[in-house]
Amino acid sequence: MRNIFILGKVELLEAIRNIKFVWLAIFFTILGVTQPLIDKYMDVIIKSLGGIDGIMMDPNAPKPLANEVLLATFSGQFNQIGLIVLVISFMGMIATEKNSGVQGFIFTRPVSNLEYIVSKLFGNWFISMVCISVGSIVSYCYTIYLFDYYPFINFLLFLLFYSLWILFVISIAVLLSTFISSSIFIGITTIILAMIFMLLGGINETLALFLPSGALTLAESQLQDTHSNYLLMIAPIIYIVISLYAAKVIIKKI
Amino acid sequence: MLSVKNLSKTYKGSNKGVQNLSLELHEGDICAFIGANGAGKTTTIKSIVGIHTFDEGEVKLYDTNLKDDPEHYKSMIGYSPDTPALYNNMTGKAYIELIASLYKMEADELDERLRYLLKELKFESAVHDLVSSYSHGMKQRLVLIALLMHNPKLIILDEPFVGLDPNATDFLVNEMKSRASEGAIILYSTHVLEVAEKICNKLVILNNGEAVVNDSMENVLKKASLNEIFRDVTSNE
Repeated sequence: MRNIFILGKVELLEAIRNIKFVWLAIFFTILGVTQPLIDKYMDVIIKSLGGIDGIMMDPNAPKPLANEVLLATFSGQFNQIGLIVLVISFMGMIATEKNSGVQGFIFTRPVSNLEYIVSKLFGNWFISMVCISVGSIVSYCYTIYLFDYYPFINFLLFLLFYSLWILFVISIAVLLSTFISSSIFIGITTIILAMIFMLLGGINETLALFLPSGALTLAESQLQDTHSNYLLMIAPIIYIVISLYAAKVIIKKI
Repeated sequence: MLSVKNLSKTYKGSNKGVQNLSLELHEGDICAFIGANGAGKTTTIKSIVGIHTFDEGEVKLYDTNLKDDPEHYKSMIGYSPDTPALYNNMTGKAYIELIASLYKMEADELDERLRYLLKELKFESAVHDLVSSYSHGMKQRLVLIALLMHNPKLIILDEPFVGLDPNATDFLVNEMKSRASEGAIILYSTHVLEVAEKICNKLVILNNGEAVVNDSMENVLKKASLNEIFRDVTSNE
């Protein structure tokens, strides 16, 4: 446990020195404000881009609710371009150290493979969630300012379940990093797998019960104020534990 | 005591590696590991320090088997790789503190040893600089500090003199002798045969992954100089 904390701290220091905290938080902030601005000022944006000829804007269209805007922010921005950039930011977490020899050097110290893997998982999860939270909270503030009120506690619950999904995505990258040397290949494969799980999870809730993207379904149900099936948390936790165990076994053999 | 029994390690798609190597070193031993490039020195060292898994064999330090209790085994060793691999965005001080915390060293204990090592390796002024600003020799010195500060029972060095200036080389040679006299076991690979001849009491010469010489330095030097033996062994490749 102590070594996990020590190595996790190294991840954070590296992220501070590489200004990863700054650029990733700025990126998610931009993503976070984009959706509420688009939803609120679509007609103004279209006019400024050269008029609305040929485009029908329904003047009686109902104003979207705050939770609908937040849902669009996450499903349309964070889970697409956001996920891609996020994966790019951590895809080299193990591969770079393996290729540079730093990992080998750490393994000559009294550090177990599992401690190293878990420190990578939680270190990168913490960095990711800090940056996502900054973007999310800015997005929340814009949304309630431009639209209507939405309880902050519900939004925090949403973030909590969303963080489980992010933890799972990082665990895929950790697992792939134990046997793939190319950071780009790790990144692409992680994105593809995450997208597949998201698509499958969106088919129906019963299927989502068996998929890691159940965490995402649960998070979205929080925003939609619909019934939340907390059993959806079980599958992602099981997948994360399996990924960690597999990573531990593989890293020992290679 | 370090006991290596029938160690074998091969790489996929290559016949290089090490085959059936056995080695026994006792407290106070300084063993030179010699061989031409690609003879298997680094592979053997990386297997003994736990970076590489090996196909067959057993590595034990005192009663601790590397495969059974790697954390305890590694807490007793200090290793310097041929190429220093460090966190470039850290300062030397932060790196030292990181390694010390992995060995669970107390602050007082660390301060005392660090003061001595920083002074002897003339590293006091550089320790607050970023690792990325260090030369190869400076990185090598930092690795040596991190290697020696926890008083390891087994010191393993892979070509330690490469990149070191004469002062640092002298320090290292004296430190190896002094640590061995205090009971540490030292195993190091080198191409600097003159130094090996002077300070080592054991010698292993590897050729194509096999130990062709594995004897005391005294016995080996009865036959010929180390240089002549090395040339003789490697000319048969």
